[in-house]
Amino acid sequence: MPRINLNELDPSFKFRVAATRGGEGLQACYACKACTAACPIEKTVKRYDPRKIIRMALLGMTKELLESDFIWLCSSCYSCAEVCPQDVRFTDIIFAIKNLASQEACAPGGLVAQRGLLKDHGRLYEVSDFENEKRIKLGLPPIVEHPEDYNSLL
Amino acid sequence: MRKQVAIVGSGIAGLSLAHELSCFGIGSTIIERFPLPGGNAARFACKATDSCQRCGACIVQDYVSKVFACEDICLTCGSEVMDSLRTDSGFRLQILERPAFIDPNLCSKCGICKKVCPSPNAILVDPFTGSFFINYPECLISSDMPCVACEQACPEQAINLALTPERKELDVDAVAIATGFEPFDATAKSRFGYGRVPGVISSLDLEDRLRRGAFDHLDEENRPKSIAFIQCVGSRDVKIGRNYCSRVCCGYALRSARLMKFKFPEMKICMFYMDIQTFDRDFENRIAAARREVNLVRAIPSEIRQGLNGKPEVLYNGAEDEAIVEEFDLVVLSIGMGAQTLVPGGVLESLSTTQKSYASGGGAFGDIQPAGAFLVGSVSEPKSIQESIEDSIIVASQIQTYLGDSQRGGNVD
Repeated sequence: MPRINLNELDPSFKFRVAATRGGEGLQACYACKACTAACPIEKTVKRYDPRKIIRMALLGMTKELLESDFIWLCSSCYSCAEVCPQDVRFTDIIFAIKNLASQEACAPGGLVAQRGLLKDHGRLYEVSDFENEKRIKLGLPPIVEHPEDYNSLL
Repeated sequence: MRKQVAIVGSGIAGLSLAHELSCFGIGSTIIERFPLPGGNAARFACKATDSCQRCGACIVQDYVSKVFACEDICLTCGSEVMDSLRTDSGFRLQILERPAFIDPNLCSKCGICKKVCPSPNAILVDPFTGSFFINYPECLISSDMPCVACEQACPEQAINLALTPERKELDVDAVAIATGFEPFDATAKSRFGYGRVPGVISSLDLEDRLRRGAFDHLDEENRPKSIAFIQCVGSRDVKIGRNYCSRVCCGYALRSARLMKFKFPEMKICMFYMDIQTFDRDFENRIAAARREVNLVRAIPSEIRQGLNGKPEVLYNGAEDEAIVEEFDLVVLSIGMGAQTLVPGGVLESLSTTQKSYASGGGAFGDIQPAGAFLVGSVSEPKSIQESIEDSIIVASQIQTYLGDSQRGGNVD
């Protein structure tokens, strides 16, 4: 287990998370582990432990959290929020942490690329003339991309 | 003239307050809705192992005896405060007094009435004297059903259901509300399977079994070999509006666990908690002793479900961060305390505590405490037996001061 250097911790990180939309419940956690017991991701990927992620955020392990790969594993099933007695809403907290990670350019390359596709084409798969020609041959109307619709959502 | 105080509720707080007031020479009338005195505390079992564990369950019976023996105290069971008015000198209460449908002088305690009764909780047995009582709200006649099964079955003709309740008026100088708490209904936390998964019981069910000696009567094969205690069921839970610690659950669960271990050393006992909070003075010793006997697991299970062989299975995250599905013979949910929903009528109603004020502590009473009305015991916030008695002592002296002031014509409002 890697050592934690107290001097590298960022005590203000928990306030940053709590100030981000969805992260408000962070400091209410009692660490009762009900969320971990309910989490389906934790069953297969041990690194993803909701209770520990909350602890890491509270301790201020900013770098370890934002640069990690595991914060992106959440399936957004809300099982953790369902069982939490303190209404911490961990799913929303992990969204807040992911948003902070994106702001610090820590998002995984694949996700950044997907975001680029959405921005340019309004969809995850680019529709080229090749596909549209095929569609016309089959008597289907061509697909016109409307990336501006997606951009207006941002 | 001798001062009179009405005490609503005959739980440990009401009983001890009546006793304390009698020490000051103040008379009291205890109005109890249930046919038996003692309230919730009378349902608890003694948890002494080879030495006393200071649970306080025996104190209730002491106080019942003291109150019965005291001439200054009038105990009316089976009665309710229907309405209350403020008068110049105090309060006027309208009391509905239900008759004792079973004549104690004729009853031979044969128990035939309980066997023939179609309603499970309508006929009660006093755990101390063995006498039988009809619990009116549970009896079918309370919902206008013409059931006379017990009356016809009684060989001694001791039961007369045709008796009608009496309305009485009571003038008192002060009122103490000691309506206590309501145990949390564990079915509201459905993921713990109470009432759905066989083998999942509440801590009150366990108290009941312990008091009846239910485990001692079982032979070794049928006796549970493993028990799980789940803490904080209905406490410290924002989602159900109970974001407060009930203060008593850790204590009673640890005592019950140690009692079970003492009686049946081969039993495997697990206690699931988020953090242990007890307020007893020898807490450190108790927790150290409990750690040797009980497996204390810091985890709240996500779910309790019925396993393939019918026994309850607890899903939790273990100490080594592993997902565990463990089977137990018996799962005990340590239910917390909630605000009492049954409140006296009239002007006293507005003083009673709601769930919201229970959660914020202190009750609705706080700043607007009207002259002559007092809250005592767990009606305002969760209290143990010990704390309720301590509260009674404080409130008794407050009442004495108040009555003394009003006697001298001081400004009380």
